[in-house]
This record gives sequence, structure tokens and C-alpha cells, in this order.
Amino acid sequence: MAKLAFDTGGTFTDFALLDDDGELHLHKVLSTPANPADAVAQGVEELLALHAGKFEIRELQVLGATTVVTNAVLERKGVETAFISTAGFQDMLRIRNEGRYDLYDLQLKYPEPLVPRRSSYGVRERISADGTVVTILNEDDVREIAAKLMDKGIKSVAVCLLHAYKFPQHERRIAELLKLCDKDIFVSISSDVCPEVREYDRASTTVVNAYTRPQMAGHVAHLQKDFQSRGITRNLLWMTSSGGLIPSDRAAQLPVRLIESGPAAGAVAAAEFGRIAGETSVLSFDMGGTTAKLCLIPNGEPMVGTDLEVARHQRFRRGSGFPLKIQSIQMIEIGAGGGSIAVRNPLGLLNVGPRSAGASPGPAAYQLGGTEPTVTDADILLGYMGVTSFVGGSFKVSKEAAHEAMSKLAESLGVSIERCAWGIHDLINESMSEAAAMHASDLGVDPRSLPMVAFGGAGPVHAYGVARKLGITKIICPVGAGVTSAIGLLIAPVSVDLSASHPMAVSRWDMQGMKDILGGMAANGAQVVTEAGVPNDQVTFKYTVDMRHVGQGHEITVSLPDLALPQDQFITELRENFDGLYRDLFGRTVEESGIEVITWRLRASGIKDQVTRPHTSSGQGNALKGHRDIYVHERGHTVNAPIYDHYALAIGERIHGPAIVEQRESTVVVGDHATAYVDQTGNLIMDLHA
Amino acid sequence: MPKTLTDFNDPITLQVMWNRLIFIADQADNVLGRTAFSPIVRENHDYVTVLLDSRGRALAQCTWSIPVFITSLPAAAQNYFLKAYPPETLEPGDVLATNDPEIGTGHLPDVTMLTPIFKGGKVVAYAGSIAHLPDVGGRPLSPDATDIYEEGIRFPIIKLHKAGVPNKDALDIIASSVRLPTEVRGDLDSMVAANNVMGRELLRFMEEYDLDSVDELADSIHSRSEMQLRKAIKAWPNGTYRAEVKLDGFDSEVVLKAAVIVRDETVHVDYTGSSDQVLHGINVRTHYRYAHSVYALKCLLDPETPNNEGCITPFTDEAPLGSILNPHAYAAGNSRNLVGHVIPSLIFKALEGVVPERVQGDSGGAPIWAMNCLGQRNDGTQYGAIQNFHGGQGGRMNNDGLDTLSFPSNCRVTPIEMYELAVPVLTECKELIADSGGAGAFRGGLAQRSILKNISNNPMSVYMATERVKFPCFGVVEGHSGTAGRVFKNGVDHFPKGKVVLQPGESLGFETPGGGGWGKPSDRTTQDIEADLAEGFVTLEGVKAAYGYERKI
Repeated sequence: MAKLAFDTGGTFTDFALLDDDGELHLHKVLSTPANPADAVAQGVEELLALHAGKFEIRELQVLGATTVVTNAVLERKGVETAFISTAGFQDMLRIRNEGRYDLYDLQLKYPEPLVPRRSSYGVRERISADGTVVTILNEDDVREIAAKLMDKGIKSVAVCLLHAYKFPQHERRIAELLKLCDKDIFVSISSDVCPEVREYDRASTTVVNAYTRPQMAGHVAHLQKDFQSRGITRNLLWMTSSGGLIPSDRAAQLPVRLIESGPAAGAVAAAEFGRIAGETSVLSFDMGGTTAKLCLIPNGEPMVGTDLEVARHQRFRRGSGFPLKIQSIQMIEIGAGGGSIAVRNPLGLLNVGPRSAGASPGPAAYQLGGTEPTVTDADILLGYMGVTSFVGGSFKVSKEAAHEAMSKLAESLGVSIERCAWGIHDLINESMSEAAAMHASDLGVDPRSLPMVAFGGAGPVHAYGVARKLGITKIICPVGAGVTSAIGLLIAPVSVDLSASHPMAVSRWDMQGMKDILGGMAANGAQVVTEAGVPNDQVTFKYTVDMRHVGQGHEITVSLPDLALPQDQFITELRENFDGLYRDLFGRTVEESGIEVITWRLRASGIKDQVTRPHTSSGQGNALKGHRDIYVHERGHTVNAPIYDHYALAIGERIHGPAIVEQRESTVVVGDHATAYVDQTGNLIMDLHA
Repeated sequence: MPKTLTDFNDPITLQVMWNRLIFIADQADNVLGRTAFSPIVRENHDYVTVLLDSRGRALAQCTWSIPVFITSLPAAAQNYFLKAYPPETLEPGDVLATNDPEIGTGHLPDVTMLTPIFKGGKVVAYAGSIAHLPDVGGRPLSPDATDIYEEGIRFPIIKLHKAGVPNKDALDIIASSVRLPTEVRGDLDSMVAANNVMGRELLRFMEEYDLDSVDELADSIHSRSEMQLRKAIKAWPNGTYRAEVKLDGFDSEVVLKAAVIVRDETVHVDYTGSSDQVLHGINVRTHYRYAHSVYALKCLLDPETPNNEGCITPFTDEAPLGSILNPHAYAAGNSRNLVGHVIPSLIFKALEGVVPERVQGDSGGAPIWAMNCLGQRNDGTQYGAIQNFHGGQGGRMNNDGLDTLSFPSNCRVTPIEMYELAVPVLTECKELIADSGGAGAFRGGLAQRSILKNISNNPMSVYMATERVKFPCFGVVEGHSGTAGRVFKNGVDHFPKGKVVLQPGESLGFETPGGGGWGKPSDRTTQDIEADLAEGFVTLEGVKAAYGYERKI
């Protein structure tokens, strides 16, 4: 079955087409932010025209990753939304958790809640912590609110009642009543979007869902129609933040699940590139224009968790955004990209980022109005990025402009221009390696043992420096580093994540109760996955639980033992799983303390696909394109280093650093203490030595 | 053989190394928070991790932390730990700890822990942490007690671990003196683990940069930070700036007076004239007071430089012995935050004429309100957990205060659903109070109203720590006060501090104080007033009284 993937990004929309012969075709068009569907339609049309006849169009499976949901929140372009909670708790979105993300800044600010207070309502009802009804739902309150929403013309509502994760009936009834009054209204209820304990996190997630839902529903419908008109009959599938594909109707109902769609696809691709290079565990390193994403992939599978935040103040202050309790690939995203701006701070020291020049005004070298030196400017001055080969030579950059911007900063710091540029390169590498180390310590993994998969426009430029700091000894730079996420879509399985908070202490284990909870989730999960075209016999289920010591506040996610085991053995294995992971993460276990389950999780999936990669590196023609001066820190001076064309290198041909290997969209810096070669699959493998 | 010289004054090298030190403290913070038992530690982040040099001076601290702990830790190290246990008395694997309020943060629940970091047989640095234990025996956390002995167990600086071996005797004594021995032991272990992370990572860092000592690096960080602060102080005119504030106190009013003396490149705060120490647990010890003085001044002078010893040295403060801000050794101080948290607002008030653009109105989070609910569940098991409540932040130039914000502390609150899983209460509401923010060009943030009902079949003891019920939070730069707080039992006003017993079905309600305003109310724009009205942050009657606003037809 042929597959066509598109990944809508901020600047480009990327495409990857896998035809009936298993051959891969890549494509790229400029994004159309006003209506992202336009770029998708254009790219699809061009690809179909180019490769018509190589696949059966009726059987073509289209897959999408998108920034539509994220951008709606970041740019506050979602629809006007209302919020309904238990009476007395309607201010939940403003009260937040009462902490501050910055200790010393008296002027600190948070993003305004997506729902203003005037559209936040309380209804009389109450459910207690054990899931029983204390106050029955006052339906007149709901009808009154419905009338107000009609008056205001509000078309999307988020509902989050206290303890609804345990007793969803009141939320469901509210949805029914609202729809009776206005059949076109979108109602997102917390027990569907995020049935997990902790009311503010659940409300915040539900509100983001409601806020983006009409837009995503429109986008999905628009594309479905467009594809149908081209003779594509299969239902479009979408990438979620957890790295699985879901059907369009689910994507339209739960858009919040798509918030990290593109980065998740990138991580899935990195896992695959690692696998074909013979590595099961890798560190994925994706560095673009404004952010860098680092993701540990142990045992071939990115890890999935629920710590996510969107719309942070200045984008990166932890605790300053809207929390999202959704399953997402555990990665760390920091404000480090080619556009990150370097400044002299009040102490006279060099600071880089998180402020970014982005695509506009861009780095000084782009000459689009940017005058402050950025990471890209530093990379150009150090010789790491060429000026004539930028994006295949289609994009003009000026080394002189970079020089001018850098000289002012260097002067104010009292250092040479070269030292300043190196400082920027090195500092941003330090930030990224620290982020990677923090991410690794979160997951209890030693990053030094892992090879790195580097992609994104700036990833391969900085991979060597970051790897050196982390003690990593192998870097994999895939071909087509610019469309990595689209390739990830071709590989990802159909899958759905479900969760339910039902606290259960191991000392009072209820085997039947557990089976009832999981059985309901499994039936639900199987239905979604088979509807997306996965045959019944291919559906697999993965059960995990969030557990903690009784009395702790943070849970860790533990695999459930075989459900068919007798209770004693089941409990023993569960306890072993918990203790083992706890020891891995925190280096110790706690004796004499009970453990309990807080949240049950299920992932129902189809199977993963594979992508046959093109073997373009035939070795004929001259791979050596020329030489240029690059700064080599280990030697303390510049070296006239050879420049190679990645695609013209013969398989296995060794290159000794310092050297540069260029792709169309990216540049690989092969450092002084490294050698590199192209492997059977076309990837560039770099080995670092002491 | 001398090592290759690293130039710590190079603007790039220093920044890279400094970032790493902060990162090391953050890694330890991560370990502590994720393994702690105490709800107050894990949900409220009531702890800190700090890296100190060989002289006990603060090098770097975790990014998210409680301001007072940061200054308290190096003070404890320099003034007590290093004197009690000089380096020659220490060996690798030793862990020092105390909960003495005089040494640490002014109350018994906080344990201060210091772990020496050895390299080449020498102590090259210390890893420090402070965390709030879930229980220390004595009276449950509240201002009720009348001397320190009533407040719980106290252990002096001891080797909690000796050469890597836990001190079983000491740990047993602690365990048998507290209500939650497993949790207390778990939290102490988390602190040990966090300190170990700092030790391990610092050694890795020193190897990477080929360093035998971090003292010279510390000097560079300190001197740069100190210079920056001194420069900022120099921009302030010399003089003595005064303010005073009246507080409810426990059963008698308390007055705090501050004279902020700016002289060249230093600031001294003199609290002479403040009330004498009192019987109940709201007395503030020296380290806790000093930490709040320093915190307020750093916010005004240099909020950006990552905190370290250099940010502390230009500041001094004093209060006469026997003052509520410098009590005798036996004085009770469990709820010392009820008075201590107001110090930053007092200093802002004193300096409102010097830096009006920087000061903020008095905040309803100063102090934190805490409700400690204890009792037996229907099945006879024991429960006990603290819930916090905050009022509105004071107004700032160009911005209204934020609603319900922890200031000057930095405690997140326990989610209602998590609290109700732990304690048999039903929270009847938690909502903003319209008109509670003090009027001003930029008004104070809103306070909250919350009501807790005992839904068990047994009586519930609630220990309350509150303030600003009689005297509200004041405004600055001619801004007005916010609304005062209120406590009510079954709807009727109730004495707001200490223990109250709720019979089954009874409820206890709280209204926290609103933040004080910034600037003259008459300078508030009509647009801002109308936006507030549209959102229900104010009522029509409220804005009529505060701003003389009449709705135009």
C-alpha cells in the first residue's frame, strides 16, 4: 500500500511519498499559514503529478502532521470558548496553582487564560473524591448557560467538573443538554479529553482542546474533501503527540492530542534511523530555527509521558504556560536554534537565546532586517555553514553582514570576533547538552552510552559539539534531514492512548476491579484502531500504570504484568516492576512503604511500517567540492578543511575531521576528533574519539 | 604540577561554567522533588538545593526555589556547620544535618543538610539542601505553641551519615518522635540523594575542566555579581528610608518598623522599634529575617543575576535582641512566616519614593495562609495534610497584581482533588473575590474565598496560620489597601489563628487578603476599569467607591 505523508511546519510543508515499489520520494513547498490546507493541496498535487502510475490512488493512505493546533494556541487564533465547572470553581483557570515561575521578577506575567472570566460558568453539582454524587446536577443551571452561550454566539465549550475522572455522568449530561439547545455547538468534556486526577491540569487540557477544536475540525473536513476530489478514498490519518496515528474524526474531536504532532513524527523517524543503523537506543537531536528538541529513545521506542506545557512565557520558562495532561513523547524542547540571538548581559557576560530572530527578521546574514548576531551568524563566521550552498544555493546569505553584527558584540565583550563566534556556538551547545542531560536524568538513562541521530536545519552543524560535551561517541546524520518528520509519519503505527484515574492501593488490590477498568479501555481502543483500517488480529495492547508510594505526589509509569497471572504472582511482579524502575530513576528504593496505582493507561496499536531508503551514494563523480577555512577549537585556530557532497560519497569512504559534509538542506560538521563515512543506507555515520 | 589555567574572567568561559553549576543544583532539585513524601515538599516545592564552595559560600542554587532558604543555607553553613565540623573532622560519605531553628530557617520542620564534597582527599565544596518535613512531633504546624520545646523534636548538627553509613541511633530517635516516621525517613533519604547528585556532578564538572578547586571560580562569580549589585545600589540616593506596618499578631497587634539605610554601595536595614518577641509561634529568627531583607532588595536591584553569595554581601540588617525579629533562644517560631513574609512588602514601602517604578504593593500571599487538617478517618486510620491559600499580588507599575499568587514565598498549592483524596474534606468553593484588589493606577490582585467541610464521622482538628484579617495589605505610591482577610466557621466569623475543631458536617471558610494597589486610583484608566467590570473583577458599586466611576449610558 502506498503512503503519502505531509508535515505542515512554520516555514515549509514537507512531503514524503512511499510508492507501491517501496521507493521513497521527498518534496517540500512553502507553507501557507493563512490556510495551511493550501500548501498541503499544492504539494500533494505536485507529487501526484510527478509520480503518477507508481501507485494505486484509490489505495493511497495519506498521513498528516500539523502545527495548526499549536499555532492556534500560541497565536491565540482559536475560537471564542466558554468554560463550565462545578459551581464555586469556575475561576480555576485564573487561580492556577498559585506558584511563581520566576523568583525575583516582580513584573512576572502569565498568558491570559484562553477563556475569559466572563465566559466561565459554574453549575450546581458535586462529586466526592470516592466518585459518589454529593449534589445532583442542576439541569436548569445548564440550560441557563446554554441560553447565554447562544446569545454570545459561543460555539465551543470546555467542561471540567471536580472528580469527573471518576464519575463522568454529570459532564456527559451537560454535553447533551448543551447540544439540545444548539446542535452545532462543540462540547469538550474533561472525562473524554483527559480523564485524570488534578483538576487544574485537566481543565487546562480540556480548554486547549475546546479552543482549537472547530478550527481543526474545519481543517480536517477541508482536506478530506480535497483528497476525495483527487480520487483518494482512504480516511486521512493524523500524527499525535505520542507518536501514533489516529483517524480524522478522532483528530477533529481531540485536537489537543496533536499539539506536538511534528516533533513526535521526528522522534519516530529518529528511532527508525537508529534501527537501520543497527542501534536500538539513540538520542534524537532536532535543531531548527527557533528551538532544539532532544529526545531519548531507549530500546527503539520513544518514551511516552504526560508532562507537557504550551504557550510558556517567552516560550521557555517552565511553569509559565498552560499545562497539558496528554500522552506525548517525552522530549525536551529549548529555545536554542539557528535564530537564537546573542547579547552581552548586565554582568558583561555572553548570553545566547532564548530570544530568537526566527525567520523574520532572521539572522543578520540573511539581510532581511536582522542586526543582532545569532547562532547561524556565528556558524557562518566559523566556516561551519557555507554561504553559497545555503539550502542548495537557493538562498543568499552574507558573511559580511554576519561579521558586522558580530563585531559590535565582540567589541562590547572585549574579545576577538572569532572568540565571540566560537563562544556563541559553544554556549548554545552547552545549553543543549545540559537539556539533554536533564532529560536523561528525568528518565534515568546515561546519555553517554547512546548514539545521536542529528537532523533539522542546524542539528548536524551542532551535533559534534553537543556530542563531545555529553561524551557521546557516535552520530548518525540521515539523508534528507530536512523532511525527517514526514518520513516518521510513514513509519508510525496507528495507535490510540487511553487513560483512567482510579486509585488502587496494592495492599487492597481488586483483581476484578482492575480487569473491569482495563477491559472497558481495551474495547474502546480496539474499536478506534480497527476503524482506522488495522485488521483485528494485528491490534496489540500495551498496559501501563502510573504508580507511587502511598503519600508521594509524583507517579512513575510502570508496565503491568500479564493480566492472566494469579493475583499473588501478579502483585509480586508489579512490585518488582515498580521497585526496579524506581531504583533506575532515583538510585534507591523505599522500604516499608505501601505502593498504589493512580492512573491506568492503555495503548492500542497496529503495527509499525518500514521504509526502504534510496541508495544514492554510488561514489562516482567527485565528492570533494572544495575547501574552506573552518575554526577548529581543539587546535585553537582555523584550518583549511575539505568540503564533501554527502550524496556523492562512496559507501564506506572514510573522511577525517576536520571536514564539512554538505546536504541540500543541512551541513554536517565533522570535528577534529572524528571520522565519518556513508553507510549502506546512505546515512552519514560519524565516530568520535578522544 | 600546576594545572592548565582556566581564565575565570573570560566572559564566555565563566558563563558556560556558571550555567553548569546552576544546572547541577537543578538536577538535585529534580531528584528531591520527585521522591519526596511530604505533600508540602512535593506539591508546594517547599525545599531548595544549593551548591556551596569550600568556605560555605553559595555558588549556585536551583532555579525554582523558595527565596528564604537560599540565603539561610550559606548562613547556616558559614556560621554554624563549618565551625562545628571543620573539614579535618569530615570524611567522604559524611552527611551533616540539623533542624535547629537558630541555625536553619527559623522553625523546626525545616531540616538543613550539608554534605561535604571531597576531591583528592580534600573538601572542595558542599552540597546543601533544606526541606520541610511532614512532621517533627510536638504541636502540629501552627502558631499555637508558646515555646520551642512545645513545637517538636530538635536535633543539633549531627552526622546523619558517617562515612556513608546512616546513623541508626539518630534516625531511630527521630522516627520515634514524629507522627509520620516512614514519610520523614523517606524525605531525609531524598535530601541525602539530592546532595549526592550535586557531589557526583560537581566532581564530573571539575574533572572536565581540570580543576582542583572551585574557590577561584566562586570568587569570579561572586565578584561579578557583587559589583553588579553595588553598581545598582550606587544609583540610589544615599539616605534613610522608613516604613512601618501593623499586623494582627496572634492575640496582640505586632508592629514592624524598618529603616532602610542606603550608603554608597551598601544597604543596611534596621528593624529597631519593631514589637518585642511574643508568646506564640510567630517569632522570626535572624537568618529568616535576613533572608527576607536580602530577597526584597535583590528583587528591586537586580532580579536577573542568578543568585549567589555575591548577591548577598552588600546587605546587612539588624534587630535588637528580644525583638520579634530577633527573639531569645526558647521563643516559639513554628509559624514565623506569618511575620517574616511581610518583610519584603515593608522594604518596598520604605523605598517607594526611591524606586517607585520597581516596588510592588503589599501582597495577600504575605504571609501564606495554611490550614493543617488532622484527624481519624471513618476506618480509624490517621490523616493529616496542609493546604495553602494565597491572596492577590500587589499592583506593579504598568501591571495589576496577579490574582492568588504565592509571594514572597513560592509554594504551589495541592490540587483540590488530590487534597480530597488525602483528607476527608469537601471543598465547597475556591473562587476569586470581586473588589478585593486594592485600588490604584494598577490595582492589587484578587483574593480567594474557599470553604472546607468535614465529611468524616469524626471531629477534625484544623490548625490555622493566617494574617491580615484586621490590617489589610497596604498600597504603594499612593495606591490603596486591598480587602482584609476573614475566617468563618459555619458562616460565622471566627478567631483566625490556631486550632479549631470541626464536628462532622461543620465547615470552615477563608477569605484571603487582596493585594495593595500601585499608584493613585484616580490615575486608573477608564478602559482598565471597564475591562475589570466586563470580567467581574470588580463590581459597579466597588468601582464607584474606589474610583468614583459611573457607568456611562
